[in-house]
Formats: sequence, structure tokens, C-alpha cells
Amino acid sequence: MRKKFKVSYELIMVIILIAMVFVFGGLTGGKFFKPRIMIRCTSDVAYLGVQAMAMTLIILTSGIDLSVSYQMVCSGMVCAWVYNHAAAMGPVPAALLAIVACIVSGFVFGAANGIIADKTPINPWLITMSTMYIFQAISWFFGTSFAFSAGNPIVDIGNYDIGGVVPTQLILLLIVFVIFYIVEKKTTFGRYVHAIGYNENAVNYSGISAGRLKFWVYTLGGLLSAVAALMYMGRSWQINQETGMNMNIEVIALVVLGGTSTAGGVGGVTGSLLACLIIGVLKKGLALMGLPGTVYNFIVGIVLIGSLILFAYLQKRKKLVSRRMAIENMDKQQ
Amino acid sequence: MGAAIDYSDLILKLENVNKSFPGVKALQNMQITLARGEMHAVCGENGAGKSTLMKVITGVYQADSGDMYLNGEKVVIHEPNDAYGKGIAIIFQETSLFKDLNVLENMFMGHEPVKKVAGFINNIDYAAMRKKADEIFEFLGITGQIDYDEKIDNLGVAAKQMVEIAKALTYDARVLIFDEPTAALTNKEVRALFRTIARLKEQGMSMLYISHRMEEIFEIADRVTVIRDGSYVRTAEIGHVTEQELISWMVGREMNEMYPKAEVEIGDTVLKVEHLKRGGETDGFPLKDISFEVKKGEIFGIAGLAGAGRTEMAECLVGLRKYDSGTVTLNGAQIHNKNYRDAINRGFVYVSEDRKKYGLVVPMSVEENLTMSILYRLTQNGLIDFAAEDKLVDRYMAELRVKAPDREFVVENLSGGNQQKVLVAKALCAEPKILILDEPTRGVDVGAKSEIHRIVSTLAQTGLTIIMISSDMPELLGMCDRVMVVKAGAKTGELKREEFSQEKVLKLAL
Repeated sequence: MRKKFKVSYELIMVIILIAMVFVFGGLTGGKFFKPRIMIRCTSDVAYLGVQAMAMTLIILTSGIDLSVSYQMVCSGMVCAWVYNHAAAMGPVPAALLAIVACIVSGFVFGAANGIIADKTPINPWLITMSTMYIFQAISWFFGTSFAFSAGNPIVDIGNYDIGGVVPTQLILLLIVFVIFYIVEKKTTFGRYVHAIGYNENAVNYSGISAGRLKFWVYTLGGLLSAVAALMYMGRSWQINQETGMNMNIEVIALVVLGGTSTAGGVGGVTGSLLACLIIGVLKKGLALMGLPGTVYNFIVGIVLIGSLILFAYLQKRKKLVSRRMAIENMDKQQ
Repeated sequence: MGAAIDYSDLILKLENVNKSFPGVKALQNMQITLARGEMHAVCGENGAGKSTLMKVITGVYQADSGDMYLNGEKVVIHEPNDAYGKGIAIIFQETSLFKDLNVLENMFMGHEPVKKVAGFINNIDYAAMRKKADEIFEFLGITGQIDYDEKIDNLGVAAKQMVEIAKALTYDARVLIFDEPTAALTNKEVRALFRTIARLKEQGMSMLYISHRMEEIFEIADRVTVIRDGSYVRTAEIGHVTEQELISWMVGREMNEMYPKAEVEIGDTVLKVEHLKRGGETDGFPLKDISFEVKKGEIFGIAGLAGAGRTEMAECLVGLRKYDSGTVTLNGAQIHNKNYRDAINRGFVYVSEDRKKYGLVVPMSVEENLTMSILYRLTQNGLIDFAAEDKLVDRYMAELRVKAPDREFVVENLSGGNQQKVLVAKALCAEPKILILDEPTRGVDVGAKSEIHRIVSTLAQTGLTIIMISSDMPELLGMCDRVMVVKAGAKTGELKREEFSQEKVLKLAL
């Protein structure tokens, strides 16, 4: 086997990630090198990373889910509402009930997107743009904001550091990543998700219902939004109507930064995880340097467009290489 | 015919032209010469490289190497506009007109005459356009036959073609290329087109004419160039060549080599379809009471024109479409395939006519495509058993001699013939009992075609029941035991091998 060293997009991302740690380490006078800080900078973005895992699968099918952040807010509101109404049961049973309600509502919201994506030929941009408004309206029904106090297990777990170092937020992100990595790479489901993104017809003509697959992909999106809601509330002690603003774009940006093509087919969850870590380091590093949020936005924009240019360049190079191989292959046959 | 043509007075000459696409050498050392005032036919089988050659001449494609001379001068054409500027125009099979614009606007699209209004503001000069159009229509001898203000969408195929020709003349074309211009015309329209072509010839126009209709070539061409598998075969003057010779140059091999039909013992009836009907309201393809039966080891052909409902009928059988009424009996038991997975589990496998659209996921690997319809059979504890998958893929790649460097190779970089073999291998992975092949050799080169025919023949020998839908008449008649003819969703007849003839099939199909 000819095993040549290949420059993959993921590899470049790992190098950038390491380089960023050193750059920030230098710029902040070594403050960034503390393991506590390095590990904890993922906490701020872990809930985005979790949503990005399902979003990766959705985008791989050449779909999109704009409603993702309002699914999160809505499940969060359901969770908080249930917790407050069940407070008399004591914090642990109430939290358990609230978590179940949160997950169930996330499932229902995701399934609602999924059913429409399965049964109609409507573009997912339009489906999820419409449901985005609906989910937002539903969340208003439960409340405009909730704040949690200490003693609520959701907050206690969400802010806990295992061994005083490793945050539960990071652990949850890694667990979700491992599950989704296996699903994407090692199951028939993952194979078909990629195939749908390239050519939905051919999947249907292989005896596989592309519609049913899409249903499950969007439903997973809803489920992980609920998980993300728990993580978000656990970390920030509260949830409110403003939480969902622009967050859908942040999640999509992570997936795109991770090298998943919005045309479908190309990409994977590994890139999305790396993108999440890069954004986490960037956020923390800039904050440690005492720079304002506008600088962060500016840099994220630059990073995004830079990554897209790099990705397009690598894709083109890959195509050229494989074309050359194809022509060599023909010459050999003759 | 006009004055004798001087074949040494060349207006266009191509030498040693090469052009490769991923997986295909479309042109190899191609050459062609066109004399001034000549009508030169180019013929070859489907996929021989005729259209590619024309696209190289008109700058749609860039040749990898080779020279082109126009009026003895070496030229390089970078894009279609270059070709127009140099007086070379092509009339495509599918018209390139804007259907919402009118005739006049289409004729002058992109080079409208303008008159200055003030400063740098220009207005389209409709009067000048009409005047020029009048001249061109008179030149073509069709004055008053087409309304300048009519939208293209409202014109018939023949009229659209005339507008295309008129459009070419607005560029002062000296070389006109026709790409199978009669494919969509009625007999009467063909006569009108030929009158126009004769008039153009009288006026000294040099023309290339792509066609594989022998009678047309013999009627209107002065010379003919035959190409095969992207290579030049030879050029001959009409009158010094017979139809038989042309065909043998085009095919380049004997018929029995092309259609290797093995003797197979025909068994009992396997599949019986009775009174299959559908309204076709949702997709416009009704089926009107189709009945037939197929026996074990048989190759059962289905002939008919495009759009006759052959593909739709096949898709009804395998659950990809729904039918309203009728019964399907498999080995004596009545069945109904609700969806394609259902059908696969019963041993029905359908090989689509459009491998890029429905058959294969071309950006994915040979391996991923081969196992796509049966991947669920290759799992252990919910995870794909990659070792088992590799083994299965290696087996079928070897069996069908798929020429790819390895199983990871991306399908879109394979040649058409090899892609088709991957598609057939994908079907065989599902271990079919009834294999439905829809246009199994469309767009593949001659070598791969005969290889696929050999595979089909072998499959029939091993006891598979094969239904073959094809528009390639020699293929149907060469490979099948019986042929059913379908016309507009209804069965118009059935022929046994002893009664086969192209005329009989055509008569039933038209």
C-alpha cells in the first residue's frame, strides 16, 4: 500500500490549535499555560459543541437546522418550569423530572422538524426558519427567564470539576463526541448520512428511505439541543429569551469551521470538535488579554473566512490529485 | 448539387487532437478536414467522441494537445465566443435559446446592434436588428415563416432550430456544425431542414454534420469521417463507400462478438405480471393493463420509445413507484413489493438507467457504492463489519473485472464502462433472483459494452431471471429470448427470438 503523508484539514486544525495555545500563552505572560485554565476554557463552548455534533450530521445530509438555538431555549424553559413547579418534591426528584421533561421536549421539537423534512420536499432552510419562530413562541408560554440557585443539582453538576480539574461540561462534550464519532464512522446510519448529502436519489434507489434517515438526523438535533440546554443552564445559572439569539449561527459556524461542506457529503464530527476547541481557546485567550467582545467577533469572522478559503483550496487540490490518479489508472490499463 | 468541391482547399483542419476526462480518453490523435463549401458528415457509435470533437472545435472544451487550422492559419479557440468571432457556429441538439425571449432578441443575444443616445448611454437598435434578420431569413429561404416577436417557448422544435441557424448566421458564420439536428424532428420537418441545408451549401457554407442515421448521411453529405472509441478511423467520399462498410468501420468488430448469447435451458415461469395498471396522475406515466411472464434463465427484453413507460413499469415492480391494480406472482405466490427494500428482500433488484442520478453516489468509493443496498447485512452489534465488507467487495470487483486501483477509489474518476460495472456489481451484491436492467450499456464504450453483455449472459446461465429494458435495438435483439414492446404505457406486442427483426419491433413501438 502506498501510504503517503497527507495534509488533511483536520491535521491543520490540530496544528493551529496547538499554535494558538502557545501564542496566547506568550501574550498573557504564561497565564494561559495553567492546566486548569487550558482545560476549563472548553466549558464556555461545550454546549455549542454538543449542538454542533448533531448539526454536523444534519449538514452532512445537505440540510440545516436554523431552529437549533430555540429548540435549546424552549427545552430549557420547559426544564426550568417543571423544576419550579415540582420544587415541593425536593431538589433531586424535581431535577430528575425536569431533566426528563427537557429531553422529551427536545425530542418532540427535533421530531417536528424531522417529520416535515421527511414528508415534504421543502428546503430545510425554510422548514427550520419557520419552526424557529414557533419554538420561540412556545418558549414564551413557559416564561421569559429563569434563574437557578445553589442546591439545584443541574447547577451543581454543571459547575462541578471532577478532581477539581476536569469540568463535567468537557466530559459531557467528549461523551457525545465519541458516540457521534462511532455513529458517523462505523454504522450504516453514518454511511447513509454522507451518501444522502451527495445523492439522495441513489440512497432511495438502494432500498433505503432517505426521508426516514433525515427524520432521525433532525430528531437527534432536538435531543442534543435539550442536552445543551441542561449544560448551558448548569453553567450559567439561568436561561432567558435572549439566550437563543445568534446561537444557531454560532453552532453552524462551528460545523463549517470544522470542514463540513454545506453542500453535503464532505466532512465529519471530528472537525466540528476541533473547531469547538479552537473557538474555546480563542474566547478564553482574548478574554485573558482583556480585549473587548467586538475584537472577538472580528477575529472569529477572520478565522471563519480563512478556514473556508483553506478548505476550498484543499478540496481543489484533492480533486486534482485524484484526477491525475484516474488518468494514470487509465494509462496502466492500456 | 453545386460545383465540384476542391478537397485540397481546406477551411478547417484538425490534427493530432487529444482530450482526456477523468476516467475517459475521449479523443486520441483525432483528425478531421473540412473543405470549403463541403458538407462533411461525422459518424460513430454513441460515446465514440463525436460531440466531444465538436465541443473542442467550438471552444466549449480545450484540447489537451493538438493543432487546429482555420483557412490554413493555426488558431487556438479558448471559449465559445472565440469560435463565433472566427466564424464557427454550432447548432446544438438541445437548443441554447432563452425560452422567455423572442426570436429577434435570441438571434442577436450578446451582440445586439446599438445606437448611441447620449454620452455612453446606448439603446438597442431594433430597426437594424430587423433589417439584418430580414437578410438572414431571405438567405435561408424562410422569409415570413417565423414571427420575429414570438417567444421561443411558443415555437416548435423545427422553428427553434431555424432560429438557431439564423442566430449562427448573425455572427457571419463560415463553418456551421450540426449536432444530430434531426433527432427530434418529424419527417416533414427533416425535409424542410434539408432544403435549408441545401440552400446554405449553394451559398458556399462549409458544414459538419454529426449523425448516425445512415440514410441522411448518404443523402446530404459529400464526405464522411468515421470515428470509433475517440479515434479517427477513416474518411471517405460518399459514392465510394457502402452503408455496410460504414457500419463495420463504426463498430469495428463482428456482431456475434458484441452479443455473446449463451445457450441456456429455460425453466419454469418465475415472474408473472397480470393486468398492471396505474393512472399516473402524479408523474404523467400511466400504465394500461400490462401482462407478461418471465421464465427462469430467460432474458426478457422490453422495447419502446423513451417515455413509453418502461422504466416506470419496472419501478412499479420493485416498489419504487405505486400501481393501482394488477397482480404480481413470484414462483406461484402472489406478492406486492411495498418499497424497494421489500423488493430486494424478495430477490428483485433494479439497475437504474441513470447511473449518476439514481444508480451510484459518484463522489463515494467503489466499496461504499457496492455495498450500499445491503450494508445492513454486513453489521455486527450495530457496527459495520469492515473486514466482511472488504472481502465481499474484493470478490465482486474481481468477478466483474472492475478496473480500479483499489476499493477506496472514487467512482466519479472511473470510466463510464467501469462505473456501469460497479452498478451491476452493486446489484449482484444483493444476490438477486430477478434482475431488472434498465439501459445497461448506455454511455459506455464498445469494449465495456460487450463485457457487460457477457456478464449478463453468464448470469442468465446461472439461472437468474433477467428483464432488460433497452433503446439499443441490436442489443435487445442480440441478447434477449423474447421481447415485449410497450407504447404509451400499453403493451403492443411480444416477439419470440425466431421472429425478431428491427422493423417488427419499430412498427409496434411507433
